[in-house]
Amino acid sequence: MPARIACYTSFTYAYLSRARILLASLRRHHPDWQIWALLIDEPPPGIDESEALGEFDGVMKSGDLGLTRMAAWLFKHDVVEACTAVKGAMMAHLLAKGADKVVYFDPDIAVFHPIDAIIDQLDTASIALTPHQIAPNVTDLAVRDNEISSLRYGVFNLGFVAVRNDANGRDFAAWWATQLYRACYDEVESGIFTDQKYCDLVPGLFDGVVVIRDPGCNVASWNLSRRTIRFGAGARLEVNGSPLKFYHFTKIGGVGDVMTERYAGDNLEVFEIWQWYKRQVTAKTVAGIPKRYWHYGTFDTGAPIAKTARVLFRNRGDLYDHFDDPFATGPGTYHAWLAHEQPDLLRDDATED
Amino acid sequence: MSSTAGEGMIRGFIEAVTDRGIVGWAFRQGAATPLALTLSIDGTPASTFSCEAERPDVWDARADVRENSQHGARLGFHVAIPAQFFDGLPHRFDLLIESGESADLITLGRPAGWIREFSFPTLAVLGRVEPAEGGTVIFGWVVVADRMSGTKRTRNQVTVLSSNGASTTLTAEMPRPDVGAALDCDAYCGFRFVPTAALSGPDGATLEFRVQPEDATLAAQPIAIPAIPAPEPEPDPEPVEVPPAAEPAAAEPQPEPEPEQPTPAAESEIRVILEADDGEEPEPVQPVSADPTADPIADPDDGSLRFTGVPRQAVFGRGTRLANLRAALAPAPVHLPDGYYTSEVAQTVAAELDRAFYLSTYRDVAESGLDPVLHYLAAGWREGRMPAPWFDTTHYLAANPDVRDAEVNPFWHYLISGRKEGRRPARPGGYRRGVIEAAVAPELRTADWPRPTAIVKLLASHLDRVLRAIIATSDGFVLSASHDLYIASTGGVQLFIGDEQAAYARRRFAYLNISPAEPDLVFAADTTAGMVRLVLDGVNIGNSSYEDLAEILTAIPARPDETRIFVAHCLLGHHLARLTALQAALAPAEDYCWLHDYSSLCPGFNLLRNDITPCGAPPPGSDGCLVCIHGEWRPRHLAALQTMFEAIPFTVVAPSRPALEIWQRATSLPHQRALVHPHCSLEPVSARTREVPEDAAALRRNPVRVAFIGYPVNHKGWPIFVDLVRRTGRLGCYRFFHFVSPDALVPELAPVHRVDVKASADQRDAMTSALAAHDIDIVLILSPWPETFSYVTFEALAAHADIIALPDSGNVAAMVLEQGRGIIAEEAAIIELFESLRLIEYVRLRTAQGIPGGRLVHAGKSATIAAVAP
Repeated sequence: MPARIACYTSFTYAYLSRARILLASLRRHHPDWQIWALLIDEPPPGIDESEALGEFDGVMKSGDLGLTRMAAWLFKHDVVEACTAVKGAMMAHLLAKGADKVVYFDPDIAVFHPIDAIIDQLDTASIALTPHQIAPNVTDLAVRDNEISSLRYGVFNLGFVAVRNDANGRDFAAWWATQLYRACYDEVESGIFTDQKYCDLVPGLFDGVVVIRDPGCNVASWNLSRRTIRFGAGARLEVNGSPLKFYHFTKIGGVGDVMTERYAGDNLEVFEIWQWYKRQVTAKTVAGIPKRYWHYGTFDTGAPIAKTARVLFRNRGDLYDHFDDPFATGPGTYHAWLAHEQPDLLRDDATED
Repeated sequence: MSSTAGEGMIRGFIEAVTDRGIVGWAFRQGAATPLALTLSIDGTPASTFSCEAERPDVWDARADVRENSQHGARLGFHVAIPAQFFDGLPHRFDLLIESGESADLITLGRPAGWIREFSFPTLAVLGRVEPAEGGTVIFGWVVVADRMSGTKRTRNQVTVLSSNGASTTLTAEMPRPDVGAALDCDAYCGFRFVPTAALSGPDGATLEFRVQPEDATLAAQPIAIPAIPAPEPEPDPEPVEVPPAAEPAAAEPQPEPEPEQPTPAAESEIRVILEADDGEEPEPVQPVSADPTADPIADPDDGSLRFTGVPRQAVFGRGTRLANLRAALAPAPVHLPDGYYTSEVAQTVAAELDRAFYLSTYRDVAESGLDPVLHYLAAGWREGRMPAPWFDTTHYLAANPDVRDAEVNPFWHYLISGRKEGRRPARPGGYRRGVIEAAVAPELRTADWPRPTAIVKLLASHLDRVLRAIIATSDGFVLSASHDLYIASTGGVQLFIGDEQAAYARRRFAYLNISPAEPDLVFAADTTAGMVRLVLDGVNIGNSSYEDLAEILTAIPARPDETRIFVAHCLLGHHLARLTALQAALAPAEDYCWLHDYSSLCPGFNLLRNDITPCGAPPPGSDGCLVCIHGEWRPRHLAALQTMFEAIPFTVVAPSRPALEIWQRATSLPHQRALVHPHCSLEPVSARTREVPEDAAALRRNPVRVAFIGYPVNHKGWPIFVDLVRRTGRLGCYRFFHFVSPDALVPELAPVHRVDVKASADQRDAMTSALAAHDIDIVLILSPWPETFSYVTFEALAAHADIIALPDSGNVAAMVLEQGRGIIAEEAAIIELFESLRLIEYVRLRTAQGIPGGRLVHAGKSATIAAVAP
């Protein structure tokens, strides 16, 4: 019997267009996989959720993951933190449901060639990770941008991780889910960076870890300094000679553009792929979703939640223990407490997520 | 010092002659300005320089200098050896004064009267060996520099020879970023070597490190190592059965190994530069020039550059002459008083801002009389102006938000910091990036084309009468389909359709051309009205529909003595199913499909992936098509063609062999036969000769004349032309022309001379005449796609001009090679050709021997196929 492979991606409605590109690319190359959307959001007004997510084989809402005190816990996170904080619980869930292998992709990844060669390694190994860097950088700038960044934010890029449903794989998923429930924050100064930095520990903590050093995997601006993309025979996309498996279109339209330009240099093929992705984002955009929309980005009145209000809530155990639904407003809520005790954190110009 | 005494006498010393250059000092007694000297090599001036570097050491040390120099300590010089003399051969060096006499400077350690032969090896082995921990570990690095080409080889093999006769080899490939940064090379050049017991022997030994394959010694002194204990032997493993080794065939006496011969060739070719173990950073062999136009000497005989008409060596064997010419054409140095630029920023920028480029590119600055450096600092950088052809201010600020936010001058930032950090001075990917970003999907490319508000359709009964009348009085009837109104355009294809109509008219054939009433660059959808414009024997008679036409033609069957012919010139904008039904109604005896472009392979009819890179029309499911702007539309485009080609037994006609070959490789569309039928041929006429001057001043008066023809668009290579003008326009040795239709809008590009040329059916030779009238030497036909024919190529050939073309330019490159009329080169090689002035050498030789011209003989229409095809 062929292995039952479950694949998931974690996103909010603002990233639905990207998740749909990933989905279409997975369907093309892995039609037999079961592909799940893990949604940390509620639909904007006028969007029918079953229609918007209907292309996925399954949809899991973060609230259905069975995490304790979900509203209070979610409030502690900004959007990036929240989308990464639930990845471990979802992985454990899919393993518990009996998938033979579970694969995670970030929604801003697109698959260009089948990754069977990697998935097959999980016939013997248990956990597959892709490092940000697989070849040493040469220039100062590249070391600073890429290697020092990896030291700060994590050796492995958790835009991709795949596990086998064995004791190692399950242990990893349970451990990861636990860490992420406890603290999945962008707090590099505390040694934490969302779900990613923890995984520096994985090769030490678990058996059966395979480090994927195929240059065709997880190609992104942070490793273009040592990778060259070309069209090979039959116009096949190749990275340092290996077929392009998946490209991570990180921070497209922003700093990703700058870093891609810095390291792609004259490698025009990178810009062809990048431009293709931008066209796909336009094509896959669902009308009616406001830019940067996130249901959990606001109090129930629609007023934006400042990052500082979230940080205070996560750092003050007494507040966290006391308020079950910090998104609520009105008497006796965290919002009311803030208005009284820390009104600055409710001001319109307080930093948003 | 000179032996002559008194006023006017030259005093000076040559302190060092090394591969890093000639260093010394000199001045003329009593002269108010520093002395100018010319470095002469093999009797030919190589460069002229001024002895004006500050030498306070000389000033302090020598009373005679203090007494006699009228310009203080500004008397030093350092002149580099031009790269082409790193060839291992002896060359005669001298320093000359203005009169051409030797300056007679004294060289340290040599007798006066300095004319010396020196030879400089091509390869320099740079490296260092550093024992550590008492010789139990040895660190080192090695880089082999080729000083002619500027390349630096790393990851070298090194043989380690022990004084006890043992040896081993290692590969120096550990990263040494310090060396990589200092030498501007790949950092993978280091090694960490742990000597073994075999190398040390029981009493210690010395080691020599030799770089292979040159066998050059890497350290001045052998490295002493102590006795290294042999590792403890592993406990005997469990006995394993081993199959018996094959016996040697016979116990032949082994020859004694020959004693190793020294390799004198290697010694003479290689110079090992040893580093004193003084902890200093390694220095680059030659200063890295910031100016990318500097001294491109090497012949890149790697296929990127192909000459016709003259032997390659004739152009590449002239390094000295070209170096002199480059020096003579270089803008005169601007002498500014000391302290002219007061700030460090201005001084740094002034050192590399290209004043001549700035003033020739920005006419307003030149006219204002402002100093270009001060202008750039005060306003130019904020206005996005370029301080040199290689630095793009706008890009640098966009790509480096930290610099932008700091509000510092971007060029200054690049010079003092960005360059070292690896930041890029111009937009990576250049203009090609812009093309990729601007690419528009084929179905959207005509969105802004004007559409008719109403299309008036001819009454079917009227059209029926007209066609019946003309068919009844003709020997044949041709129905041709094209994408636009051929009588309203003067493009090459449209002129050929006119020729075709005229040729059929001579055979008493009626000729009806149909083109979409709503032109498009994809095939028409079912939802379109299906209206076509009708041109009957060259006259626009109005509009009708495919269906009306089909109905009328069905009702007029061909007479036995009447030939009916269907010709597809270009199908874009047509509704293929309706057109196929119309062809069936015509019931032609002959069907032709012309390959004027590649629209029968892809809606991207130039076969440029994302409008920029030649793709050769790969399979539609390929990655290339996935990411290409034309890829999404292509499958339905091909499906429509497949149906049409299955229904119509086309004879496929290509105007050139390259076009047919590309088409046949890329498609499996069924067709009856395929053939090549060129539109015109060239009848030779007498050659044109002219003399291209050798000296700079005369060359400026009578420069090499270079033309770009046609609209300023990417798919004709306009950005490459712009780049060439920017890089070399200020030299004055090239005069650039742009021959273009009077209605063309062309961005201003100084210093290019625009020539308006209006070609038409009556004035077919207008372009050829205009090129000849301007005595054009070189026509740049820089199409990056495989042109199927290129009429412009024939016009240039006819006008006695040679052509420079890109390798993937289809029939352009094919004609250049077939006729022996120009140069095929990649873009970078073309730029090098211009900057190195080798093009001048090429044109000089070509015009001296005479460049042939020709008369164009027009043929190549459907009407002439039967006569030539089997």
